[in-house]
Amino acid sequence: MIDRDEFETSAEDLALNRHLLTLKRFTPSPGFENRVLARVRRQAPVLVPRPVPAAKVLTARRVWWASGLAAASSTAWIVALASWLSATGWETMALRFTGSVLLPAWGVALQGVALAAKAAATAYALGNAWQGAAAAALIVPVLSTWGLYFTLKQPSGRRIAAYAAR
Amino acid sequence: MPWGGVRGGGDAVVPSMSHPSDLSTLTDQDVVRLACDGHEGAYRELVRRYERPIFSLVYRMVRDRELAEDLAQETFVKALNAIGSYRPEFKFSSWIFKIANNAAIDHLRKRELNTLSLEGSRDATSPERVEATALQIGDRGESPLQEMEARELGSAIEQAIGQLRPEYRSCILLRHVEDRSYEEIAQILDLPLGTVKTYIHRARTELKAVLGDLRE
Repeated sequence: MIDRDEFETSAEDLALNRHLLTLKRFTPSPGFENRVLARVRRQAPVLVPRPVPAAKVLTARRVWWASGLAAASSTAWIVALASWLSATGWETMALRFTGSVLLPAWGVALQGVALAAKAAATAYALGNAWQGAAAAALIVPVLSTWGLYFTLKQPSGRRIAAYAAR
Repeated sequence: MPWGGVRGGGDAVVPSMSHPSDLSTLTDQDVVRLACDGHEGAYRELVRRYERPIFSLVYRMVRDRELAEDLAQETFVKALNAIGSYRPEFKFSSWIFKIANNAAIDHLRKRELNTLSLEGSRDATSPERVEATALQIGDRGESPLQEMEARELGSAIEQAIGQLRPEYRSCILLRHVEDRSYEEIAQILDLPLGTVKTYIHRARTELKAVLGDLRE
C-alpha cells in the first residue's frame, strides 16, 4: 500500500492533519529522572576483567589432578634415570655422580646450615628483627619435610576415594 | 547495586576513562556506549532524552497519568538495566519505544481481563451478593490529578485517539507525534510494513469519522 495518508488532500484529511499537529508531548512529574536512576544498576565495564575467586579455581578435582600429575612426573624421571643408569653401567655412573655432585652439594649444605646458625645466633644476640626473620625462614625446609611425611603417611584409600568422588 | 554506587555489576571496578562532560551533542549510539562503560552521566542523558516521548506514548495509551508514570519508569529501568543486551545495529529509540509499547499493551490486556462490572459480579448467586460486589461510585469531585488528565486528554483529537484500538493508537502516535517512519514503526511494533500502513490508514479513517461526528 502506498503511503496514502501522506498525500490525501480532502478537507477531512486536512482537518485531521491540523488536529494531529496540535498533539504535544507531555512531561512526567518532577523528579522522574531521579526516580528512574534510583532503580537502575550501572553496567559493569566490559574492559575490566572480574577477579575470579580462588575457591572457584581451586576445586577438589583440579587439586587432585595437579597432585596426581606432580606425583606421576616426579616418579617418571626417577624411572627414566634408573633405566638410563642400568643401561650404561650404573655402578660407574653412581660413583662419578657421588664424587662430582653429591659430595660438593653436601659440603655446600653444611656451610649453609653453619651460616644460618651463625645468623640466628647473631640475631638472637643483637635483637635484630630482620636477621631474626631470616633465621625464622629456616623453618620452611623443616615444614616442607613434615608436609611430605604427612602426605606419604595418608592411607592410600583416602586418595582413591577423593578421585572416585570426581 | 542501586544508582550511585562506586562499583557496578558485581565486583567490577568502574574504569577511570575519560568521558566527555557534554553528552547532549553525542548520538544515541555514543551515549549508549558510554553507558555500557558504566558512565553515570550517560544513563541520565538517555532518560533526559526519552522521558517525554516515552511518557507521552504510554500516557496516551493508558490515559492515566499516575499509571503512565509507573509504566514509563518500568520501561526505563528495564531498558537501562539491560543496556548490555542492546544491539547497536538497531536505533536506540526503536528499542526503548518497543519496550514502552509492550508495557502499555500488556497493561491494557490485563486491565481488560480484570474489568469490574458496575452492576456487580456475574458470579454472584444472590441479589445481596450482586449488591455487595457492585462498584460504588461516589459523587466526590475530581482530584487535581484527574482535573489535569481531563485538561490534557480532553481535546477532541485526544478523545478520538482514546477511542481507537490500542494497535491503531500506537501506530498513529508513533507516526504523528513521534514522527517515526513506517519502517521504524514496523520494527517497534513487530509488524509487517503493510500492516502498519493499513493500521494507520484505518486509524485515520476512524479519527476522521469521530471528529466529523463531533463537529455535527
